[in-house]
Amino acid sequence: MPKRLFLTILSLILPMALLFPQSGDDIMRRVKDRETGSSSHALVQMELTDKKGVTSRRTLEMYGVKDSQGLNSMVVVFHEPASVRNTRYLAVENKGRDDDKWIFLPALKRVRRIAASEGGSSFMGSDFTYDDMSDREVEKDAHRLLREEQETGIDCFVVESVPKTGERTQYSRRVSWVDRERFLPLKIELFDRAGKLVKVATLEEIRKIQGYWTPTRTTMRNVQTGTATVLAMDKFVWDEALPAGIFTQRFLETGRP
Amino acid sequence: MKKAFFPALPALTLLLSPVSCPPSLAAQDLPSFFQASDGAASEEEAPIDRGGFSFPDPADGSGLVWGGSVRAAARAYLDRTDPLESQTRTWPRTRLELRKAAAGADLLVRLNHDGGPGGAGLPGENGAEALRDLVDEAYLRAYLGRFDLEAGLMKVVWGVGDDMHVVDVLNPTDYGDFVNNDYLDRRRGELMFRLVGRVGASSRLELVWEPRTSPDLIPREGPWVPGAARELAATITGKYPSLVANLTAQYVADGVDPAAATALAKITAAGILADPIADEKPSRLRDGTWGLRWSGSAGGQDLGLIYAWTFHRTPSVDMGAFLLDPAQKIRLTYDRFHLVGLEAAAAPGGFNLRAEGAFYLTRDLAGDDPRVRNSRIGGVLGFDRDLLTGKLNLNAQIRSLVTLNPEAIKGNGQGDADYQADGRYTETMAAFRLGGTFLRDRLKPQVSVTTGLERRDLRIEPEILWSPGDDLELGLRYVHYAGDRDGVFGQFRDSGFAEVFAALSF
Repeated sequence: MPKRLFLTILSLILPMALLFPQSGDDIMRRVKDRETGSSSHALVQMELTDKKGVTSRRTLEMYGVKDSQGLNSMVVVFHEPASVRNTRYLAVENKGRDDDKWIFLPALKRVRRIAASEGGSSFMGSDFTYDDMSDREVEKDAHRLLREEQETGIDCFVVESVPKTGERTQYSRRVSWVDRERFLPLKIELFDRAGKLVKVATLEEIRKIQGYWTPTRTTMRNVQTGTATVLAMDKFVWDEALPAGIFTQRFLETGRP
Repeated sequence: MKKAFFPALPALTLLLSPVSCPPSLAAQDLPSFFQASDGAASEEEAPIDRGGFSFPDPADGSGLVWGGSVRAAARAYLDRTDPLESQTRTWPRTRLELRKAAAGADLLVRLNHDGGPGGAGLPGENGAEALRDLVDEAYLRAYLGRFDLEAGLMKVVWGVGDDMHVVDVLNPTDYGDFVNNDYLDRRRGELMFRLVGRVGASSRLELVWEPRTSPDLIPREGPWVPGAARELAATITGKYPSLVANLTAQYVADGVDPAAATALAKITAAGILADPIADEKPSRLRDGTWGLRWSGSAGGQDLGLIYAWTFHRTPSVDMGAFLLDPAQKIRLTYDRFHLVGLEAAAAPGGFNLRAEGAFYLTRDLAGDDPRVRNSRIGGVLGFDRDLLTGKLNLNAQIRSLVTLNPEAIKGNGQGDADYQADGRYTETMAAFRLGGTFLRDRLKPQVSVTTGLERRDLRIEPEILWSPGDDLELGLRYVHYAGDRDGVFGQFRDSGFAEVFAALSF
């Protein structure tokens, strides 16, 4: 009897294992570890659309680099509109503790440390939050492969990511459609703390730049408010020799590396 | 090839997250979801080379970048008994910032023409003073490897506090409308030389020298004259009758006809009291300010240590000789002190914590020299925290200054530079601000309350900002003062106002 039960279970598991050769953790780890350049530099246009269809624009410049320990740093420089010109933001990833984040506000003429948990705040009034811009460690979430299906004609893994107990996040869960060949999330549904769908991020354009497939147009739609934000790259370059001085508070103050 | 450095989920990192594509995966292998493009085409979109670190090229070709804002405001000082009798003022404010970038150096000029209370264009100003008011900052910054050297008229903020500091001693304060302006707006530029050196990966050392230590700017007319200045003016005016009497008696004793003696005494007394103050500003070369600051970040904290050798920029008033003989001058003196300070900031659990501590060491450590201010200690503690996923932000700060050895001051009595009639030798101020951002940052309501704890006075300011366009801002605010007239805010309890303004950035 036990042998029959074992065989029955095995007969159920084996096809699933063949169908889903990887776990959710494996998939999201491959998403994180996919190969790319060692630095990035982008000029980004942000278009905000309210629920009445009225649009406004932002221009920002972004720099990213990864240090020898594999930790990321990112700088955002706001160029337009004039009211936020020369506001600069720096996020430095740390191992085992919250990221360091600072912002330079020209009106205060001072670099100000901000809390990592403020990442849930809107980024420049857009549908993106500061957390949406930051790296999130794979280990902070429990990932589960839900199914496989096509998204706009591309075979995808559909993976649900839920924060582990004790991990604070603005989203109660995320569901990602991950291109099963390139391990790039093509669409992500984001659910608020009440468990309701709040936002959907969609990659609308991907271009090959310097040998890397690079998302160049992403839309974030807030399905609860009816607003949307499009991030479109005007320029992008990989592996640029970025001066280390960019990722410092001095750069935030002076705009010089 | 390297591993992905923006792995991320979701959003902007997603935008910046590339996926490496094996050579076998050409563009045509991809469904229409992807923009067909080859590497060569994309690589043709090379960035503009501006030193290898910046895409935008906002300069007009000469390296000159400019921007600014225009603001128009109308303010009504409220008459509580009959609001229609309220005094109104309107004024424009124009700001212009020019930045000329060159290889290894920047020139920055910020002009600020403020026709409002305490702003430029005050009656009686000469051309040099008007120009000085117009130029908010003008300085050169040279990038010298690990060092930056700045020279010129500058505003430099030391300390991590918001709006309240105890270690920020490098610039004088403009007390014209000072309780109603942003922190930087109520500071005046000071001529200084500043050398900033990078020490290690995440710390730096600053050395500042100011050849001259300018005093605070204290208005003598208008709604924002401080209570101490009003009292001084009243004391001077009050001396007129006794001075006339003394002079008349003196002239009569010298044989002058009594009627002529009285007339002569009035003229003489008016002349004496027209210029009764000797303002002993620290204007010699040795009266400069020196400052040294180390600041750095480690383990999720920002830390700083500060030393400065400077002056109290608000004068002490020595009326001893004047009270005995009005023909003698009232002396305004400025006490030198050593400042030893520290600052720290951290962000645990969603709280942005900030702290400053300072020890002001004057020549009167014992506190018994009536001509010199006593030493003091001070501190700032504050935090802010986002609420409702960033829709609201609560900011709370408290600052306290404690004058040491108050018993010695009381022993010296009214002639002591630190003497307070109410016997209070601490000054504690608490500030709270609850602000919100709604409708994609277009609507920003906020209410601020600042209170002096010892004298139980306060300032309340509800404000609402509306941005119909990205660079246009409309605002409405009301400012109410209440409490003890000896308090920082209570002294203006008759100066509450409502203000409407529009500002355009460009």
